[in-house]
Amino acid sequence: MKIIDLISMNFKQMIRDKRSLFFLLLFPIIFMLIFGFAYGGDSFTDSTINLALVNLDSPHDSPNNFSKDLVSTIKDVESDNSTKIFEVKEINSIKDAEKLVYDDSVSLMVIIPENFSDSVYSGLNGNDNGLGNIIVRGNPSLTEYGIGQNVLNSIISQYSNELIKKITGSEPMKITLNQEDLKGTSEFTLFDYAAPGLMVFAILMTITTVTSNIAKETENGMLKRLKLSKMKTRDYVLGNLISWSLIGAIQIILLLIVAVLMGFHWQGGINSLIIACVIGILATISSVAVALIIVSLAKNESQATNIAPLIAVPLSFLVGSFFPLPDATIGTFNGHAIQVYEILPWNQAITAIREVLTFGYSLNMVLNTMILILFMGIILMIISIILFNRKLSREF
Amino acid sequence: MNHIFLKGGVLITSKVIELKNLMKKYGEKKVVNNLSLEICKGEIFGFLGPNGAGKSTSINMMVGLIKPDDGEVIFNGSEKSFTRTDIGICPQDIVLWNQLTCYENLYFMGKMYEVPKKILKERIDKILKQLQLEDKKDELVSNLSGGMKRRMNIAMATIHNPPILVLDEPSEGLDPQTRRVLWEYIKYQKKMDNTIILTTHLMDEADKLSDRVAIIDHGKLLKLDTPEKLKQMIGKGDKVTIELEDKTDTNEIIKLLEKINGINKLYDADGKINIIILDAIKKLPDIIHLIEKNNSKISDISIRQNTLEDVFIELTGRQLRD
Repeated sequence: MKIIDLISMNFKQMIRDKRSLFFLLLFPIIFMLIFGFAYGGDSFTDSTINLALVNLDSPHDSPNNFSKDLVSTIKDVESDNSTKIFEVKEINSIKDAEKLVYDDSVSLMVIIPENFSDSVYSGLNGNDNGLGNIIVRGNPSLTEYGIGQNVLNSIISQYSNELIKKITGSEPMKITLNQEDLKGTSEFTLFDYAAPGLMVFAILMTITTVTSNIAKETENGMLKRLKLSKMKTRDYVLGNLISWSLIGAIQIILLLIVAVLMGFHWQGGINSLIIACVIGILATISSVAVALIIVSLAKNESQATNIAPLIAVPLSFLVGSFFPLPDATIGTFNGHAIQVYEILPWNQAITAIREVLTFGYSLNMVLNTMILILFMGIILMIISIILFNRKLSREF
Repeated sequence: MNHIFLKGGVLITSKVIELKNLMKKYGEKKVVNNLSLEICKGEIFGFLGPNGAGKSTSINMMVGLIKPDDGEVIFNGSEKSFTRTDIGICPQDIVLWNQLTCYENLYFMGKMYEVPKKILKERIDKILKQLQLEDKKDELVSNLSGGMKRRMNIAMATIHNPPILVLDEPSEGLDPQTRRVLWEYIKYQKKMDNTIILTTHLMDEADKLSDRVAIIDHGKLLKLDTPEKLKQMIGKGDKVTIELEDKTDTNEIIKLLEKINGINKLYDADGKINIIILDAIKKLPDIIHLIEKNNSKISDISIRQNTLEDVFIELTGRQLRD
């Protein structure tokens, strides 16, 4: 299997090349350490978060209107510096609230269901069905969403404790905060948001290393030597693709270890790590494709290696590796506002990795995003193979 | 079918590569101009010419790396039977993976040619031994000297035991000792009945190794024959080169020297008097006497056997290194 030999050759070269190792592993780790030190302790509670609240509760026989109390609690909650955490917009329908989320007018929405007060009352009277479900929805790519749902978790927990104590004087029972399968974290920090972005930053940096390697092999005659053998162009492309994809997965694992050491609140366990690695592999397909496109269009090795960082670094800002991105809607699809940066596979990868590692989403919940990343990668790869083949047939 | 007598009286009858009116242009410049020749099985075929003469372009067209603008390359008697894997190429530049060891480089290349693992391992050991690199087997290529890299470069071209081996300036920049090792390896390849196409601008390399030499300049084939016949073409005997202090006397002295018996050729090249003469040592006192009699002074004089360089000068009027 020539592909296996190509992979083995790539790995040996990478491990022995200190410059490649630095750019692929050490450089992103340094970024992770810097971000960990800078944002690991920030709780983000000094900012105001826009929240859409849909209260569908209609208490009939309940002696108390529990939802009304909860809404006022959410509205009144303040951070340490006495500023309100939530700017609450009360909305009548779920559809209207969703529209605000899609438009990024609010960072998250809270739905208090129809029978909330009844459920709480029933629960307080010894019924074992719990004290009602509150639904939180939002865009996980936004920092405010994670912070908001975490604060809500804390509010509801405290609210239920106080409420039960006040009414029954008994041991507190809980009103559960149903986060649509989001696990969230109890000590959420900005670093929990930044870390997945930095993992994708590492994957974007592979563009520079892959470009440099392939450009060198093209210019120094190695590719010509290989082309004279029984190796086909597809073997070469696949060999590189698999090698660098595996390196992408290794980057995710190493960076997660560093992130956890720096205080990242990892959700979802080993399964989430496996899913994140697969997302990393899928995103690397696009990075390798971009590298091939750069090599194909550049006149020589020096031009290619100079162009690569000029593309990789701005891309890492554009896809939100370091900071949350502003609203840049270019249209809507199926009721969802499409942001311009969402057409980039690495942006989708950041969202997906954040969902699995920060919120503990299951495979089913990120599967569509993963398919989308793969689809984008395949498109880029087809373009790159066409251009690369054209270059090879022109030069050899 | 051509019948060509090679060194040692071996009769070669089968053509492996035939070039017919090959043409290649870069812009307006004809890099290869109407090149036609045949290369026979088991011979060392030398391409001799200065840098930029079109040697590498011709070879690249032969092996299919460059498409000719016109003409055709016929391999084993048929265009369709051409396979790149029948050819091993040792390029002019050193093409090795620096972060791999010598063994890993050869193993990787062998796998790319689908050489079976067991055969490959034995072959690597053999090649490294023949090229005196066995103690560098596990050394990273980046740590090798220039000469060792050159030897590795040729090893990479032969790992799949190709019946046709193309060597593009294989001993460029090598010390004489390393060159000997390389030449022995090239001779071994010939012994294995492989065909070797050798491009070089080193006279002694082309002379000592090649069965036939094609002299090429400005993309054109100037002459094709065995080294002996090429040298005989400019006359039998030794070559005496005389440089006068006053170069304006050169033509006059040439006229005087014509009277000496046994001179095969007498000409001016780059302001120097070149004499091809039998028994040069015996005739040398007469030559010097004649020049001094004319009150001319000799600033430099040399005597040697004629070489392929002399053939090139004869054909082009300039030196190979110009």
